[in-house]
Amino acid sequence: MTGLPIFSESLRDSRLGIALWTLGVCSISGMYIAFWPLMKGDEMQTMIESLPEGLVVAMGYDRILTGGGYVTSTTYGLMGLIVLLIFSVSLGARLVAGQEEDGILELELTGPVPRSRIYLERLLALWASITAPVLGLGVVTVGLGAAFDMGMPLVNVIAMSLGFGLFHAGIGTAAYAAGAASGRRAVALGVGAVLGIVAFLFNAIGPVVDLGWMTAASPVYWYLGNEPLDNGFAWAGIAKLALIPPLAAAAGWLRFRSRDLLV
Amino acid sequence: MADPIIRVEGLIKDYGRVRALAGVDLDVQPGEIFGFLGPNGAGKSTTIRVLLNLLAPTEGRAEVFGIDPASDDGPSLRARIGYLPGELGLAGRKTAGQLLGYYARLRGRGQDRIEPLAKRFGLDLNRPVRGLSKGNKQKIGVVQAFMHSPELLILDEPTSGLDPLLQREFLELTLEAREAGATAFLSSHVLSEVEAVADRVAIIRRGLIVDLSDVHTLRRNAGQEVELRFDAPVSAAEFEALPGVDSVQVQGNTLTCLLRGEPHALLQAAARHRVLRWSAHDRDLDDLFIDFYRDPSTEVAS
Repeated sequence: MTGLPIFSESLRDSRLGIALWTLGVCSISGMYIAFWPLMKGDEMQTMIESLPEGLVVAMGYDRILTGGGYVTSTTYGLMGLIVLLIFSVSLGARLVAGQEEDGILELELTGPVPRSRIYLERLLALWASITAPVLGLGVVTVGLGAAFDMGMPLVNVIAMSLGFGLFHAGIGTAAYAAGAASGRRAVALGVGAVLGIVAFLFNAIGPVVDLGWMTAASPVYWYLGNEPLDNGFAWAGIAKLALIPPLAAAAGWLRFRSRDLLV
Repeated sequence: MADPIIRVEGLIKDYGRVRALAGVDLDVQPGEIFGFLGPNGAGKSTTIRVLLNLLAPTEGRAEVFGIDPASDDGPSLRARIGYLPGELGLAGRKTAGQLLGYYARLRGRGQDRIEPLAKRFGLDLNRPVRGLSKGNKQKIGVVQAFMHSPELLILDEPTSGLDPLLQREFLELTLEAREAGATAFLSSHVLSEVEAVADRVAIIRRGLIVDLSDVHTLRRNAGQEVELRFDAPVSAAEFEALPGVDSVQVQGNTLTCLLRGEPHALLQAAARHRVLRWSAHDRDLDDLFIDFYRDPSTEVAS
């Protein structure tokens, strides 16, 4: 056995899905960004002022008057976030738990490969899969941002993409690990979905109800709280986000390494 | 005797509070085809999954080639095994050829045997796995189990889904593998399926081995179905106590019974009456098998 056969095969299996999700997230975000020229006028300002303040804060409309703020609140903090959450959680749940339930994993597990290698190569495939739509979204942001003169330097988009990618890698890995630990796709989906939704809600509601700990505890806030599209890298948040994937992966491995499989 | 290829000792496996294996002992010798028989849910697949380190034993131990499947040598141990799962899960969009190619890459060998084996079983390598019938999927399972010429074949219900012609082809392939020095562990719930190729057979029932013998002994134990017709009614009691005689039934002038061993005592007893007609035929091994399935004396105390 040479190279990373399990990694490449997993990627090959999900390449169509990866392509479609990338296309999906790019079109939705592209559509939002394309509305920017209509949004930046005074009418928008007036409309936002007419909305209840809580709603404005929760939806992130308080920042949509800068180009970066607008892209953050529509895409990186809302539609792109939700679409990619569905993608990374369902993929993470499928890569071990789903394929174990379907019996597809059996001939891999009974082959001459250590369990650790299966776990690791499939995890790498998950991370690589998440990279594609994040990169795609970054390209769309850079391209349309330049076209509409939104004032987002490339380095800022890279900063946002890194945090955003790490966030999805983290939630996806949590789903992956929960699936590997339990062998149940439903558990994996549940864990991923709950973590993702809680992270999203804490960031959205924290400022509204004025609970600082809520905001501070949200991984969503960790990557967009500092407005990287306007301000560039904020390493404290990225450092925290970077811890989630390896920690979640390690926790899943503790159980997967010795548990009964395919039962 | 050489070291056994598979050695299982006192193997117990609990799933929660359900005891799937209640102390299985067996050994598979080099170069033999070993039949592993039992009804569905008797513990066949559980035993096999312990051998492949999918399950950890609750108690007892299992060794393959003298190695604990759960040890660090597990991967190199599994490289020497060809495994056909009882329920084969195969992935979607790929073609049969792509999938088999992947398994060959994982194992680092076997690519060259994919095509001849596929041809032999009439498997179209260009069709996507998703649309394949159960029989065609099973062919993929057979090909991947044999393609890397493993030293040990572990085959769980291998012929399920295959038509009779392919079943025979499969048994032929197993015999060829043995000819080449391989050992085979063949599980089934149909005795006639392994009868033709197996050297020894273990029968498992409710997580316990209830019989382990060579096929000849098994066949001898299966006994004969005897029917005697007399000119007048006889009493069953007269025959029931005879050695080797079982399941005596009398209907009018006709007596049927099961005979194991010599017929001498039965013939003497019959000769005290006038016998108009008699017949005796060897029972199928499947009949014996059904005895084992039903016999309450082999019930596992739980």
